[in-house]
Amino acid sequence: MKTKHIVDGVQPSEGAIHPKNRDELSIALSDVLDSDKVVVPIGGATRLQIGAKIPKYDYALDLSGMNQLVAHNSADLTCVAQAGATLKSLQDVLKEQGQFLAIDAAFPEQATIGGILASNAPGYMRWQLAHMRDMVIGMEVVLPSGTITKSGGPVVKNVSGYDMARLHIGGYGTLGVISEISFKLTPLPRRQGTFILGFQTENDLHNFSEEVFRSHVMPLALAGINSEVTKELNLKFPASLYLVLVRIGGRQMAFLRQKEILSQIANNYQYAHTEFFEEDSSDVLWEKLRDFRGYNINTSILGRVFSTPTRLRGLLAHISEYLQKIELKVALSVQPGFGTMEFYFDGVSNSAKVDVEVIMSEIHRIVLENNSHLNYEQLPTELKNGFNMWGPINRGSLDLMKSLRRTYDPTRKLNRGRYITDSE
Amino acid sequence: MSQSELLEIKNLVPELKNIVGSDYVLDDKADLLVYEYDGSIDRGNPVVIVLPQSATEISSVLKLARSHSIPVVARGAGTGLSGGAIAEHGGIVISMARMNKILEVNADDRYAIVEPGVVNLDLSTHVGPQGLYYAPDPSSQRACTIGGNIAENSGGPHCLAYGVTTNHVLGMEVVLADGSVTWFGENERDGIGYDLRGITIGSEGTLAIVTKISVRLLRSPEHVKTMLMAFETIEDASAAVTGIIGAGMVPAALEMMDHFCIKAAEEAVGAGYPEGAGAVLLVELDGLFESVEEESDEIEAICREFGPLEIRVADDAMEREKLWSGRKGVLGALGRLAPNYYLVDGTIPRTKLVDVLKQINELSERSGYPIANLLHAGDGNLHPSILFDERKPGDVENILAIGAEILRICVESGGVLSGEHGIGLEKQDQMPLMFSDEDMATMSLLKIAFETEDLLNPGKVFPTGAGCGDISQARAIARVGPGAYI
Repeated sequence: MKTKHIVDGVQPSEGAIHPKNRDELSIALSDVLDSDKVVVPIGGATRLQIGAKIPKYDYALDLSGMNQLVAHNSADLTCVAQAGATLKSLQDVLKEQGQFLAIDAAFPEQATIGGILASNAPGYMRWQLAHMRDMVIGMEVVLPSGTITKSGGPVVKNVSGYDMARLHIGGYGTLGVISEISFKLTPLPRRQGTFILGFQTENDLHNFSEEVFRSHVMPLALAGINSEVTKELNLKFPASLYLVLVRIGGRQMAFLRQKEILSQIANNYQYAHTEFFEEDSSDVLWEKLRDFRGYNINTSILGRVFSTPTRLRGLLAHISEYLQKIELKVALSVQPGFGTMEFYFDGVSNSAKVDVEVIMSEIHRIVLENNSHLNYEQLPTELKNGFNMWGPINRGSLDLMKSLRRTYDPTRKLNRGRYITDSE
Repeated sequence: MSQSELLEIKNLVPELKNIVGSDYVLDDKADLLVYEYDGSIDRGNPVVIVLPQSATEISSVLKLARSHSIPVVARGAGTGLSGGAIAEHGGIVISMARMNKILEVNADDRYAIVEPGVVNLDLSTHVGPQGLYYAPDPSSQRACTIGGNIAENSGGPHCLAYGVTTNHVLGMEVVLADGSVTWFGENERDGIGYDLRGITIGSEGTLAIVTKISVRLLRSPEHVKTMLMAFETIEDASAAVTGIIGAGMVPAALEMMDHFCIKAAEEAVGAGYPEGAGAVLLVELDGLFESVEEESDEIEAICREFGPLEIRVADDAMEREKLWSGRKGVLGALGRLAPNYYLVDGTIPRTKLVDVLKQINELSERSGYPIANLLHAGDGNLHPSILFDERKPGDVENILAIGAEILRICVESGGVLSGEHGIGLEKQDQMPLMFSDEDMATMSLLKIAFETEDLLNPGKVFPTGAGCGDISQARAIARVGPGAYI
């Protein structure tokens, strides 16, 4: 039994299945006839901790053997790959042709593209290039019954039938198992680098980000991190409470112009520190940030907030105020242009004056008061019992999601009990 | 629709008037005529038209319709080209004409909330003074509505770099078939749960009726450059397109027109396209000044490899507008070449442009029908337009068969049935070319998960059961009326 097949401390009672292609995957699913049996699709197991605690499960459906790049049409800026291919293996091949897939999920050496899509994995490269679902142009899915089905295709513009791939991106493998994906690709920027500014206040972080947002700079990524993240990443910016990282790229002249605009904007601020990382050092910086997952993998709590850029400003202020009051050490990372925030704290050995459940509830209350949404992506297993990690969702949408779940997986064969649709 | 069904709907008119007001229910024969058709070849016969002003009114209409099992079709401006807004099974048409307000513009968060009846171009015009715009720009953007764009996941020339409608919608308020009102997504750029927003976009009004839309706004670019490249042959122009994309460049727009289109556009609007060219490319770049200039130099160098007859750069906004006027006016101008034309919509991998256009030209020569080629070439989206005269016996049958053959060529080349017009009625019987029975059954399950009674825009997207091109053709001929070809 591989460690990667253990979900919330639970091992699959019947073991693991390792399909090598769509037909084997289809047979694996159709062979599970007993309606009591539960199958958990597993790619690289980098995001298996998400979701409600699984009470038991029977089969680990390990897709890591379906790892082939099926086609790379470099002149067409498209590719097709099996779901079990790791993000890094794909990016390595694409890079040879000066292209990349605009998805920068964590742990690309392990994370599979199927798992990244199914779990709607976040990334920082979303400012200019929008959402990773916008990179998917076609998808093949094996339904719980074993039926192989496809939608879309290897073309970049398509309105032929329902866009079924949308349901499976962020569907956590509850409607079917992704087996193959067609992507549109992006040319690699000829030059890239990261502008870093250290600030003393949240206000400066937001003001600077908004100015960048209003300028003609087109960042590949923009993130704000607090001193806890800076420390954990071993970045040396001692006098700053917050850092803003702006990743830019493009052709030579466009790259230099963007760098110049950023410097001009920065001159309006009393920043504590500034630095510019180019090429490889810039890559390493974002890799560190991308793979940062808190203090201790077993006890860390990770919350992900979905908001809008302006709401995020109030939200960060209120949460920071609360954290200061209870003296809790929290690592914070925000994407001001995209309106998202991640926070991490240790659920066991933290310095807070109040219980961890109270902290989680209070942060949730603040998020809701600011018209935003919170999903706890990572919790120590003992904290999962009975806790709604997904957060509230409007009744109408939830009813429809449950209807979809009943329609496509009536016995809840896939990932039973873990997704938002399976809550009472 | 039987006489008794028709009567049943007529009897509901007083109740419908109570819901939306007596001025906003139309059931007079002359009024109904206007709603029988859209921009496609199809026609249908709605029994009553309602023009609601709110989601609450639409909810009441749907509840009433459901209690009598009456089909309902939502309609924007009726510019659709695949019959999506046609009341194939009669029933009630809900026109969004009165739900045409821009409700909110949030420049800081870069979104706007609009009603579905807002005309596409009106939104960009409205937010333009704030340095913002809405990217999807279908050719009919002066008339088509954002609600209609959602139904068909519409594209447009500038969708090459910025994506189609689904890439620009953050959330939507919808009314479901049972009359319940809810939001799919909101103003955030991400969220949890199944992407109900994404699956509804492009579903041709078969899953829900959209009543409010939150759309992403983009920053107007610092610099825009438009170039015209003329080539001796369409093959040279196609090869240049493949070269541009293959070199890793994605312009804001990359359009192609063949010699038929050039001739028609010149006669109609005098866009200044060179005489004698086999094809022209219209290339537009936008963004940072430096970025645009660097890319335009590279594109020019690539195009020079294919022996262009002329490369011209628009010097100012007026010149740019003139170059675009030919492209935007070309469909209307095709009427100068033939009494009618039938516009086909398919997408192919961009590397297959040369081969597929060659096959289309051969088809044209074999059949004797001229085919004018207009392409969103950058994303491989073809719009071959078959020129014909409906008054000639057999022409209609022949051009429909040619259209079906073009789509077969597209699918066999690794492409798809529709790039931006949707399936609707026009291509539903060609779905088996692209999808297996299992694929279509899986899609049909989606409809069942949303509503079990199939009352929202029934009879669209999926094959009628025949799965045969000849039958599809016969149905189209039976439906079509004089002068209805676009």
